[in-house]
Amino acid sequence: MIAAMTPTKAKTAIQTIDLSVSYNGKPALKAVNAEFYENTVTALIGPSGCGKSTLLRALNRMNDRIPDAQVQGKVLIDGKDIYDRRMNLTRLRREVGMVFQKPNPFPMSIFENVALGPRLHYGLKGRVLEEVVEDALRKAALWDEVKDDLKKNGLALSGGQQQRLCIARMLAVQPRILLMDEPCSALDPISTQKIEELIVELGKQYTVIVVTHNLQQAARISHYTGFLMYGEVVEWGETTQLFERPQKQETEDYIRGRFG
Amino acid sequence: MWRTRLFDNLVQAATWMAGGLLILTILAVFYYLFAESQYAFARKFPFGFRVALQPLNSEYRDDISMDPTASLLAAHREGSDELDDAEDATRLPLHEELVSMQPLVTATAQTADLNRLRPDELFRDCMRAPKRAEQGERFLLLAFAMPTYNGDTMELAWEPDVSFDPAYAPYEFRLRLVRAPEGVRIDPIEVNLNQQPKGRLALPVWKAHSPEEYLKGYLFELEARPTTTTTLATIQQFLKPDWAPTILYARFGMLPLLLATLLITALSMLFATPLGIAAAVYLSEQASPRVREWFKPILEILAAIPTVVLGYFGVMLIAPWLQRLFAEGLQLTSGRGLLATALMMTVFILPTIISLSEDALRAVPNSLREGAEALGLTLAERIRLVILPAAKSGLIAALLLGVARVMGETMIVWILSGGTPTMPDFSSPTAALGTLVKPTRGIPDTIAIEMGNVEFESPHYGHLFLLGLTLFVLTLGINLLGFVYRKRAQLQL
Amino acid sequence: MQTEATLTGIAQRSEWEQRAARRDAQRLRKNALLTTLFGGMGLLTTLLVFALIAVIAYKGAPTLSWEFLTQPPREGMSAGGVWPMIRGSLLLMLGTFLLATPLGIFGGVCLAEYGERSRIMRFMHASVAALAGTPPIVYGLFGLAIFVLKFHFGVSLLAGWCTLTLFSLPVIVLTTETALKTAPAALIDGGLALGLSRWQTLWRIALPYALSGILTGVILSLGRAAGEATPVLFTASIYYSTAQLTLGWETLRQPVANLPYYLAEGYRQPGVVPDHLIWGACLTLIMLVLLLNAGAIFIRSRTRRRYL
Repeated sequence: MIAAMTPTKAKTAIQTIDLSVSYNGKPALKAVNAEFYENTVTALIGPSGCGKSTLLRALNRMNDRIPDAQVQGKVLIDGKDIYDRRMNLTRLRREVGMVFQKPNPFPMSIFENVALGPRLHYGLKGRVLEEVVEDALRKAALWDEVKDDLKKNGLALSGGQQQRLCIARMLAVQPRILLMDEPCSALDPISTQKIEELIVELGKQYTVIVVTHNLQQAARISHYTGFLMYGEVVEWGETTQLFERPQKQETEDYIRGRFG
Repeated sequence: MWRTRLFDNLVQAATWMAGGLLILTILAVFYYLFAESQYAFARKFPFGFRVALQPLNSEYRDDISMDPTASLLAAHREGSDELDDAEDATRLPLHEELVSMQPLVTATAQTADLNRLRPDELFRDCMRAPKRAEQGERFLLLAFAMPTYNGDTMELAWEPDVSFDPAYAPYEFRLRLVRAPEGVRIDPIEVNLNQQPKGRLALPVWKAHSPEEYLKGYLFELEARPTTTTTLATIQQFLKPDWAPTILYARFGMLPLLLATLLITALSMLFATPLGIAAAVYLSEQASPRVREWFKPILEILAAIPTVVLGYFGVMLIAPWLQRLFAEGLQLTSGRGLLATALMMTVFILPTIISLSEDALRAVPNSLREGAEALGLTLAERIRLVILPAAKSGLIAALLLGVARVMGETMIVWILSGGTPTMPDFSSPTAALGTLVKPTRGIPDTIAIEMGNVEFESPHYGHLFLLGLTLFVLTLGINLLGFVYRKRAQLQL
Repeated sequence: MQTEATLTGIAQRSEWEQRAARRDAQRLRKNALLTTLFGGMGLLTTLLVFALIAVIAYKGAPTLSWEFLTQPPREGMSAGGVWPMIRGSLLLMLGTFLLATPLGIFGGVCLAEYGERSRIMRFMHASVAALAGTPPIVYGLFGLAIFVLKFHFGVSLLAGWCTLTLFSLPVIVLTTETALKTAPAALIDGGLALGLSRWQTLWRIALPYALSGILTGVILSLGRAAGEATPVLFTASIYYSTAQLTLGWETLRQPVANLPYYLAEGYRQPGVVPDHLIWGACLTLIMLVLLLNAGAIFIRSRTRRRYL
C-alpha cells in the first residue's frame, strides 16, 4: 500500500480565480476557485462531464485548441495570469507538462520522443541531451526496460510503457507542474499500479494534478482531492478528510457509489 | 415475406455479377493490352545500302546517295519479293549507253542465287520486301568497268541509304567479295557494315567488253545475317533513342518519349509537391473550419476543369510568355515544350495532391497534436516534427497517385509539348535549358496523335499498344505502390 | 539516481530558463514565418483557381450566346454554334451514367462486403485501386481494341459509352466502398440485432445511409468523364457531321461530335476554328462540368444537414 503523506509546508504553485469556461455558450466550468500546492498530488474527481478535464486543460491553456471555447477568470502561476495576452504559450507549457488519457507517443524512436522537448526548448545536444533523456526515463521508471534499445519505435512499446514514455517526455522538458488526465484509464491493472507508484514518487518533487474517475486511485495517490459536479467545485480538501468525513451530502453520495 | 427474400436474393446475385464483371474487366484490360501489342512483334526490319563503283576523284566521294550510278540494295517495301521489275527496279542501261555514259558500273539481280544470274536480267537497284529478323537477306552485286574507262584504279564505295541507320536493324551486315574476275589477284574482302557503315576500298580495274562478260566481273554479296529473333529484336529496337514510325526505314525507339514523360512528371511534381503539401498543411492544421468548408469546393472546381481546357489555357497564354522569356538565346518558334507542359501539369495535379494530402494529414490522430502542443512545440514545430512524419505514408501515397495521374495525362501534353520526339540533353547549361523549353513529345500524346492515322493491326498499331502497355505497367506499379502505402497509413494510425 | 544534468539547483534552473527564453523569440519568429508560408500557399491555390476561371470566362463570355449554344457550326466550322457537340457530350454522359452507376454500386457493395476475405477479392481490391489511377489514354486504347474492333461496334456512340463506363467504373466502385465503410458500426449492429441478414442490413440500412456519398462520387466521376477527351478520342468521336442533327437508333452506331474532341481537333487543325469559338467552347465545357459538380456539392450539403 502506498502511503500518501501530506506535506508539512504547503506553498501554492498554481491558483485559479473565478475560472469559468464555456463551449459554444454552454458553461462547462463555473467560477472555480482552487489552489494547488507544490510537492503535492491533487486529485480531481467527479462524474463524467462534471468539468474536471476542462479544469485541468484550462491550467495549461489546452482549451485554446477548441474553437468556440471561452475562458473567463484567472489562472495564476507565480502570481502571473496565464490568460494574459502577453503570456508566452511555449513558456507556459515548458512549466506545465501534461499527460493524456490515451498514451500518445510520437511515431519515432524512444530516444527521439524524449529528446524532442529539451532539444527544442533548451537547444541541448550531444552528451547533455543524452543525460537529460536518461534522467527523464529514470524518473518515469522506464529506463531499465528500454535502455538497451532506445532506437526502437515508441509505438512498439506496451500500453503501460507508452504511458510512462509520455511521462518521461513531459519530464524531460523540466516542468514544475504536471497535469495528468486520467493517465491510467486505458491501462491494465499492473501498468496502473506502476503509474500510481510513479505519481506518488513524482509528487515529492512536482506539483501533480491528476484527473481520475477511479475513487480508490484518488484515495491512494493524492494528498488533496477536489470533487466537482456540474462544473462547480462541491468540495475541496485533504484526501483523507474528504473520503472519510465528507462535508457535503453530494460528496458522500458520490463516494458511497449512490450517484454517478 | 417471400417477396423480400426474392428481392434480397436478386440483389445478392446482381452484386456477385457486378463483382464478377469487374474481375473480368480487369483481366480483359490486361489481356487486350498484351494481345494487341502482339502486332508489334509482327514487324519486319527494313534496311538499305547504296553501293557505287567510283573513280578516285569522283565528285560524289562523300555523298554516295547523290551518285546517279549507285546501286540501292534495299529491303524496305511492304509486299512481295517478286517485285515488278519494270516498275520498281531500274534495269541496267544497254551496253552502248553504258559505254558512252557511265564508265564504272554496279549491277544487281533480283535473285540471290549465283547460278541463276543472267546478263539480261541485271538491274541497277534491287528492292525487296523487309524480312523477319530470323530470315535475313542476301544481295548480289556485280562491279566492273567499261572498256572506255581510262583510270588505273577504281573504288567500291558504300553507305547506308538516307535515313537508314544499321543500329535500327537487328542484322549483322557484311559486304563480301565472292569472286574476283579472272586474272585479278586480290586479297579476300569482308567488311562488317555495322562497324563501318560508310567506307570505300580500292579494286584493280577490270573491264567488261560485252554484256556477257558482266557476269565475270567482281561479284560481291551483301548479307544481312540474323543476330536474334524477331521478338527480341522488336524489344531491343523499342528501347532505342529514336521514334520515327512513318519514315521508310521505320524506327520504333520509344526512349525519347519515355524520358520526356518522366521528365515532365518529375518537373511538375517538383513544382506541385511543396506547393500542394504546404497548402494541405494549411488546410488541415491552420485553417478554421469555415475556411476549410470553402476551400474544398474550390479544389473540386479546379480538379474539374477539363484537361483540354488547361491545355488551351497553356498554349494561348503560358507558351507565348515562355517564348518571349527565352526567345533571344534559343531562337524559339513557340513556347511549347517541356516547361510549358510541366507548368500546366502542376496546375492539373495540384488539387489532387492537396486533397489527398489533406486526407492523409487529417488521418493523423488528434492525440498526437495535443501531445505535441502540451510539450510546448510551436505550430510549425508540431507540423514539421510530429504531424508530417506521422502522415508520411499517407503523403507518399498521395504523391504517388499524383505521379501516376501526371504520367498518363494526355491532352495537356498533346497540346503543349510541341510534338517533336527529342532526346533530353543535359550536357551543357544551354543544352539543358534548350531541353526544358524546346518541343518534346511524351508517350500518351504519341498514342493519341498517331492512333488516328495508323492502319489497324499493323506493326505501327502494335507499337502504339506497346507504348500503352508501357504506360500502363508504369502507372500500375506506381498505383500499387500507392495502394500499399495507403494500407500502411491506415494500419499505422 | 540523479545525474549532473538534473535540474536540482535553482541556479541551474534559472540558467536553463534564460537559455530557453532566448530561444523562444527565435522559435516564434520561425513559427510565424512558416505558418504564413503555408497560408500563402493555400491563398495562392485559391487565386490560381479564380485566375484560371476568370481568364477563361473573360475570353469566352463574349462568344457565349443563345445561338452559340443552340446552333450547329456554319461556314466550314468557322462560325455558328456548338450545339451538336454539347448534345454529343450530353448523350455520352447519359449513357455512361445509366451503365456505370448500377455496375459501380453493385461492385462497390461486393467489395465492401467481401473486400478483405479471400485472396481473389484482395486482388480485385488492389486492381480496382490501380485501375482508378490508370491513364485515360489506356482506356481509349482498350476501348479501341475491344469495342471498336473486336465487337465491331465501330467508332460509335455505343463504343464510347462502353469505354467511358469502364473509365468511370473504378472510381465509382471505390467511392461506394468507402461510403459504405463509413456507415457507423452501431447502425449495422442495430440492423443485425433486429434479425436482418447481413445482406439485408447492408442493403436496407448501410446503403441508404451511404447513398449521398455514393451519388457524390458518381457525379464527380461523370464530370471527369465528360471533360476527358482521351477515352473517346478513337472510340466515339467525330469532328462534325451533318448526320449529327437527327436522332434515332442508328445514332448508336454512329460517331458523335463532343466538346472535348471538338477542342482537341480544333487544336490539331490550326486556323480553322477561330480563337473566340475555342474560348467559348472551353467556357461551355467548364460550365457543363461545374454544373455537375454543383449538383454533387448540393447533395452533400443537404445530407450533411440531415445527419449532423
